[in-house]
Amino acid sequence: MTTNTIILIDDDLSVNYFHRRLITILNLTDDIHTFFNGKQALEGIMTLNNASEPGKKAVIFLDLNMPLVSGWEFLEEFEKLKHNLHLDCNIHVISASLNPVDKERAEQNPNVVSYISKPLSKETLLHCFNV
Amino acid sequence: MNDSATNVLQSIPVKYLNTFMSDLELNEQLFPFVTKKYWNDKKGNIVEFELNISRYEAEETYLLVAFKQNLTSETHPIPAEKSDLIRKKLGLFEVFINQIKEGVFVFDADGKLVYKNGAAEKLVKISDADLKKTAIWEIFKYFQNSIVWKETLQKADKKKDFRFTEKIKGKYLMIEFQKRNFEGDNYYLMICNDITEKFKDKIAIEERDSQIDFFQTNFPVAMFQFHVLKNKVHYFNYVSDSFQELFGFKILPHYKLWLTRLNIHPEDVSSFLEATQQSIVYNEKFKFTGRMLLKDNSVKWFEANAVPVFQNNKIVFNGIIWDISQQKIADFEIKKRREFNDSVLFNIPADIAVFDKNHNYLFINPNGIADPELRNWMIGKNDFDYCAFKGVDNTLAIRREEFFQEAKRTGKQVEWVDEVSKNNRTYYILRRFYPFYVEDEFAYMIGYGIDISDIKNLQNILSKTEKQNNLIMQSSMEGIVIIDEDCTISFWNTKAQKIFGWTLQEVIGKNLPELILSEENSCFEINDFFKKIESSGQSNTTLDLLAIDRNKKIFPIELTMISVDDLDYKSKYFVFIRDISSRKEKELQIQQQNEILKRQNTELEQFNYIASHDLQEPLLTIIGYSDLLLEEFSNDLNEEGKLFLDFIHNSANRMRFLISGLLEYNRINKNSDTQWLDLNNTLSDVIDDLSVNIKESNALVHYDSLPVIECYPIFIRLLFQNLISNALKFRKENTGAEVHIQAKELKDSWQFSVKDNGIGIEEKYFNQIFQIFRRLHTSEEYSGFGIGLAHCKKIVDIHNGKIWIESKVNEGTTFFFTISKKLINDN
Repeated sequence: MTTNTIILIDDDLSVNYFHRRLITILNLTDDIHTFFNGKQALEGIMTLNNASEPGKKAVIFLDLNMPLVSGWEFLEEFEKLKHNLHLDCNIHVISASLNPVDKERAEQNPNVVSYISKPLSKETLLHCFNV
Repeated sequence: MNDSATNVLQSIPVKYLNTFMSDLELNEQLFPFVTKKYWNDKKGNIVEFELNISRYEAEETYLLVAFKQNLTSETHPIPAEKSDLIRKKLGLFEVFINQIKEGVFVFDADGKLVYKNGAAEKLVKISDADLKKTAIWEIFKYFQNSIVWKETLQKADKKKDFRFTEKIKGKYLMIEFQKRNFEGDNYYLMICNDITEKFKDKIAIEERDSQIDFFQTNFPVAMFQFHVLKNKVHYFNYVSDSFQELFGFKILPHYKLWLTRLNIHPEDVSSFLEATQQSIVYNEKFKFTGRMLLKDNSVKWFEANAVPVFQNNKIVFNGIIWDISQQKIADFEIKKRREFNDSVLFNIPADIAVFDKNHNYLFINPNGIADPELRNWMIGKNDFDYCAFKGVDNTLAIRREEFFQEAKRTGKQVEWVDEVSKNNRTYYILRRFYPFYVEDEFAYMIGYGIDISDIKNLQNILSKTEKQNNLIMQSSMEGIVIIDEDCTISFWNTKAQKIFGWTLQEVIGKNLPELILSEENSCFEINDFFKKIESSGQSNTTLDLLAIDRNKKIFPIELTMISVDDLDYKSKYFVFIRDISSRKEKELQIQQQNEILKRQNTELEQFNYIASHDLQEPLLTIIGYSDLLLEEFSNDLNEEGKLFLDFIHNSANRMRFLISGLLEYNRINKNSDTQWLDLNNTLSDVIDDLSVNIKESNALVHYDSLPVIECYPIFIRLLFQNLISNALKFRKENTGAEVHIQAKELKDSWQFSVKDNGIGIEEKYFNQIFQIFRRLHTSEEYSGFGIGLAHCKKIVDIHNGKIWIESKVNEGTTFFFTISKKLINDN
């Protein structure tokens, strides 16, 4: 379990805190990183990648609606740099949007594992790690 | 003593006569008087003398004695038949009398014929049996009847002999009347001399004279006699008076300088002198035609003829001269006309020929046959001769003969077109035969041929073009109809047939509006439409109308009319018709969709408004209770619990702002009225309102003189407020904010700019920043909800304007927006 790294990307401080709390409660990992927008996240991932050994698994929970670099923009940039990563990234898009267009668009992205409606629950979190 | 007296005195001795005179008691007598004296001649006969004595006084006194011896002074009656008696008395002399050429008749006092000689018998064809029966007035009309005869006898007693003329059986007779006394009875002797020959001459002369008179008075001719003496001196011996009448001047006889009088036209002088000289020298007949100059400088044409006659020692030219000016003018006119006709006939670009009744050529102009020799040869010949001459078959001649006969038969012009190939080109000759009648009888035929190749070729091109046009018209996707001023259809293409179901044959001559327009157009007077087009002279008018087809189906059409009255000076209209049923349907669909959209929009606005309101209430409950929980139970909560409560409180508040932002956004619309707003005042107010902010950010806000514009005032104020506060918010750290506001007038709008010296925006976000709830920064960096610029965009939208930005990161941002001068209120 300790081998997993969890990355939370959301501009809402309270949301990030809530998700971190849930992960702690479920004792999924201690290795939790939070970023407030896509730009921060991309930079953080690069740093993490350089610091970790190859093949390490990273589960990313990505919010879509963020200032500066949105979730969509993050996905575009990620596509460009993923070949340089030895980190094994599983991206889950989490959004408060009920718009089915967003869900469809996210699921069609090859880098996205699943689309999850906010807020995260214990069940969905466990499910994400079982896969 | 005259001859007659001498005769008498041969038988009466003078001495006896003297005794007569002495016996006369002249003093007692009243002159004149008649007395009778008797004398016995040698034969014993008593000779009676009748003496007629008158007195005549001229200085001396004379007696005029006229005496007559009465032959038959027998005192006793003649016992025998008178004529026999005369014959007896004549004896041998009768033979002689019968021989003389004078006719001799003897009548008695009763006027009965008693004797006639042979010549007399020839004259009147009277036999001996008719003697004593025929009365003198039956022979000589002079005496008329017995009464005139008696009167004549009484006169004859006084003057015994007289003469008269009489025409008997075509002969003119001079008749001498003599009274004779024979053996006591009076006999009357008629001696007839035939003077017919003499008389004829006289009549002939008289007639000639009268003819000359007649000629002179009735014809403009003057006569002259011109003498040429042996020494060649010449002059006019006589010029008739009519010369002056004709030429206005006289030529005096014997005037040697006659030539100067006769003022010959300078151009004719030499020829005149030559002709004159010729005649004078060679005594030839003179003939001349020329001009004379008159005193008034007018010119007269004259003709003179003269014939020479030798007379003693001179030559006499008898001649006439007459004025031929009229004739010359007429000749000149005829000549001129003839020249004109010739020039026309010879130069006209047409073949002209005249034929006699039998189709033989009488005339051909050079355009018909150029070669003059051939042209002359053709006269009197026909087209068959021509074909033979040219060595071609008779087809042409036969064909023409048929037309000739047709024109001759019908009496009407016949027209046809000959097609001739020459130099690889086809020529078309239009030919006509025109029969000419003189007094209802066919006299001759006029043939006429004109080259119409150019016209014909043009026609061919035209008909080709027409065919093309027709093809275009027939294959057109629009119904094409041609109508005249009365809307009568003259053309109708296949598409029109498809649209309305009527064929061309069915619609020709019909009235277009009556045929194809539905009565549902009644609100629109269709005839007025056509009249309007005509009167306004519009060349192109389009209308949407309702049409009706053959099956009474009503459908919408678009009708375009083009006036083409310049084509052949007759007003015509091309009508283009399009069935717009499907277009109308689409238009209807769009209209319906628009209405749905409008309704949906309204519903959405309603929904937003209601939802926002309804969302506020549970939210306010959360805020209320979380506040209460924080105040009342904070001691019972650990730090994390307090943090959770803080999250709840902040989220709820944030939601409240978002909802109110949404409400505000909805409220930006055109539901209020526009007003005129002085933006200088507006800016001043906005700066007042933001004064705390401005102070905190150490900012400077500049604005130039701004215009007064028509707008929605509340929103314009909000617009400036949002943009200025935006500029203040995104200022650079440690730098005082500077904001510049400017206005610029464009054609249809005002353009404003709000420029700052702030952090700037990356170009890729230029469009995103106006989306609602779109934020480029985390709330930790810059507070806000992503509502302000969305509001700005909507405010500019309702002012029919645009909003955009120019910006460079770290240098500053300029917001531009326009406000239209013409605001369209949707309501």
